[in-house]
Amino acid sequence: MKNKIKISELLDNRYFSYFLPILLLFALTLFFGVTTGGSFLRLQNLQMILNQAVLVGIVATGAVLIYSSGNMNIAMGGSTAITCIVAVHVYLATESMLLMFLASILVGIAFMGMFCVLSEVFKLSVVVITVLFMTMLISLQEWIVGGKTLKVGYDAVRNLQEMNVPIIILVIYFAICFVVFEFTKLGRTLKFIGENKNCARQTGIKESAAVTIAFLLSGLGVGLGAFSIIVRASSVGGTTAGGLNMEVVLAIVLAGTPMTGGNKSKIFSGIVGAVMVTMMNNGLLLLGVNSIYIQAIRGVFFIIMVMLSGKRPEVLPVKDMV
Amino acid sequence: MEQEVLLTCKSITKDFGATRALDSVDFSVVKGKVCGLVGENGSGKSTLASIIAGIYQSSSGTMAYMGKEWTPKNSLEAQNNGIGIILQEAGTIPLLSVAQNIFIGQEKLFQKNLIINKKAMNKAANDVLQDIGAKNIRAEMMARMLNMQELKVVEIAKAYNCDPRIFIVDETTNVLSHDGREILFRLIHKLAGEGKSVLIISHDIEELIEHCDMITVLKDGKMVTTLEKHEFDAKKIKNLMVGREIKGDYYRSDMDPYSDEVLLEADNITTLGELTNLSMQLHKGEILGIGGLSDCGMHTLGKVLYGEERLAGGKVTLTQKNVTVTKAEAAVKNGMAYISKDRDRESLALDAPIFQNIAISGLDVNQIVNFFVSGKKEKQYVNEQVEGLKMRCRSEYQIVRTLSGGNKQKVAFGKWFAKGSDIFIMDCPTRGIDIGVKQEMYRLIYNMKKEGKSIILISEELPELIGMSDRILIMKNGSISKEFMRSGDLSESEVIEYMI
Repeated sequence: MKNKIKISELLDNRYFSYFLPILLLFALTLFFGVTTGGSFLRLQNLQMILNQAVLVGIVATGAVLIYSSGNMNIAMGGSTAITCIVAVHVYLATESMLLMFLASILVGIAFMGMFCVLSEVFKLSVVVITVLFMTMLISLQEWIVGGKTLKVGYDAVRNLQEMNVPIIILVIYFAICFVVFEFTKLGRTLKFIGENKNCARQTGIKESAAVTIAFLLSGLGVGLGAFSIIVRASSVGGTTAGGLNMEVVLAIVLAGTPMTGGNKSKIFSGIVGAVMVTMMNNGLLLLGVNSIYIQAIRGVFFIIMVMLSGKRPEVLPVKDMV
Repeated sequence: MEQEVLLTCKSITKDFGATRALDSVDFSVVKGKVCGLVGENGSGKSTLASIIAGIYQSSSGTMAYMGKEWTPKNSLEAQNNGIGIILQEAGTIPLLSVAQNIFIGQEKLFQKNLIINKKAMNKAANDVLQDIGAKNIRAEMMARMLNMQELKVVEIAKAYNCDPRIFIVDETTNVLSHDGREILFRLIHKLAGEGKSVLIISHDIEELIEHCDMITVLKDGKMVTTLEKHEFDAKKIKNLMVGREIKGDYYRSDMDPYSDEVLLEADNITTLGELTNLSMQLHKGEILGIGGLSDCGMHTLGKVLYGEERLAGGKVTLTQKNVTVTKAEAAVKNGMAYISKDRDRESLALDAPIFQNIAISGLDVNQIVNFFVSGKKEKQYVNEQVEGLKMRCRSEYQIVRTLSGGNKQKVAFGKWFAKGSDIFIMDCPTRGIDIGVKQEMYRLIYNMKKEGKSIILISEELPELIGMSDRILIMKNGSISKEFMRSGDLSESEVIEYMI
């Protein structure tokens, strides 16, 4: 009991709680660095991790805005996949990289806007709407692409790859989200809604407006993520962004943003979490762990983080359940 | 005659990090007696009760229960050994039925081949409810459909069902309706009559004097004294709790007038549930008291005036601004503030720091360049309240859940004071608050009146209404049954006549 209180007090410390994910990231790096005999820390390997983490990082950074308000969007993967498909079609029709970029952004934002509108029209929570769309969008992807691959062509994206455009996109998008989350009314409002919706409403906060803006901003992330996927892979197939949904949720939670949102949400969870998830996959593979076990280990980490970040009061649960 | 002791606590100390909640407390629970436990917020009453009931473990010290060492690891172990507790916080699970809540941990009683016989469980639960006199609650109901007062009655049923030898009631009476209190006290005296012991924690000294055989006073985590029935004296107990003599007027003593200017008006409002064609006005600089039995509709009225409850007919208008209040958002924008009776669920974000709870009301005023919030301005905005309201906290970043009831309420007040709201709707603002903080709250409310602010004070405590209000509206069955003007001669019995 004594230890339990100490841990909970430590987790309540705002500085400790804020920087814990970064500490974990360093600990993970050290662990794999030592256990793989240094091969994990080779520059080439670290570059590979970074490249893989960027795509999840972009989408997950936007998703933090949604999660912080206590909402969830589990159609991020499907939305990104369809956005990729539309954007590639635009490119194939126009051969314009700029139009493909704009199409990515517009479709990404349109998806998230649509979820909010449908939630308002059908009076269903946004989470329920995204659950419905999660499978619908994957089926749509299968139906449109099937076994084919839609190719943009390596020549078309070579310049962008050499300029490391996905990383530039991540840096700019993260900067925007960071400012919004940490320094504006919207960021504070979203976290407060995540803490207590009733209290937020009684304090005069319009939840639907704040959550809609969060969704639209995360739609921008979906668009940018989709564009980055095309730049990186120069093609789109039936399995593009297949595991993205799970990776995004895992990244956010691993890096310390509670599933229930609120005050402990951190905007850098998207990036830090994406790096952690990729590092775990990479490090465990280097250690020769079977990929089936890797999934299990990720699951265990996920549960531990949910437990640590959860808002369990000392007495029986009452909050947010009514 | 020597009293038989059921449980003894010796040198019990409890530390929460750097905070010492209990400091070498010696305490005994006597068989067949009703014992009151009093003290200011943060004096350690609930901590002591929680240690006895296995919710917390002491940092040092020993306990003996029925002659044996007592070191319960959790509340279930305590419950199984005959120590039942009704907590200050909600102790029911909303997504379970009333029956499931009552028999939580005892499902095996109704289990056959891995299947729980729900019908038998419901029947047994209905028997328990009937036994304690809870007529309006059925075992099949989901807990989330019940209001706070009914949930407490379910907890009473749950504790009673365990046939406790020691029955602990932690600040429960202040959330119970008139009927609920009757149920509880009937049960308490029944248990005491059967040779069982009852421990009541309450801020209501008069209530304790009426029902207890002995009262133990705690202050700053230390035992002050234990008084026997013949030593009971309200003033003496209050002085022992605070550690000094309480001087000056508890309530306001003035007869200051208020303006004729009407700020808020309810015109023939009717709701689907409780209110029927109710009309009222609130004036500038007025403290308008609203009283009645707990289920008379006064709590709903508070919500309706703030736009938190849908109207079936009539309207609420801010007359000066010609704004119809239909949503809390509009109410706040036009200078209204609301402090809910259900403070923990509606008025505070419990897992957020004090800072965030107060700063949230000032996002518009603390902006620099239209879009950005100034951290510096926000800090000043929050600190003014933390210091001005003398909140007892480690810093403004302390999590609200860890504060005492009085300090939590100060955070809820601070949010609106900082915003500079003009119309305050306060639903039971001194519920569960000790007399020291209560006195501070009354002073604050009076100062607000002097500043020209208007206050609607909804309260179940008649002395508070009579002592603080310029005008009192008494409600009965969803309508106003009587209006009283401020007067030094107004007595409780005069008012009660229009409540029942």
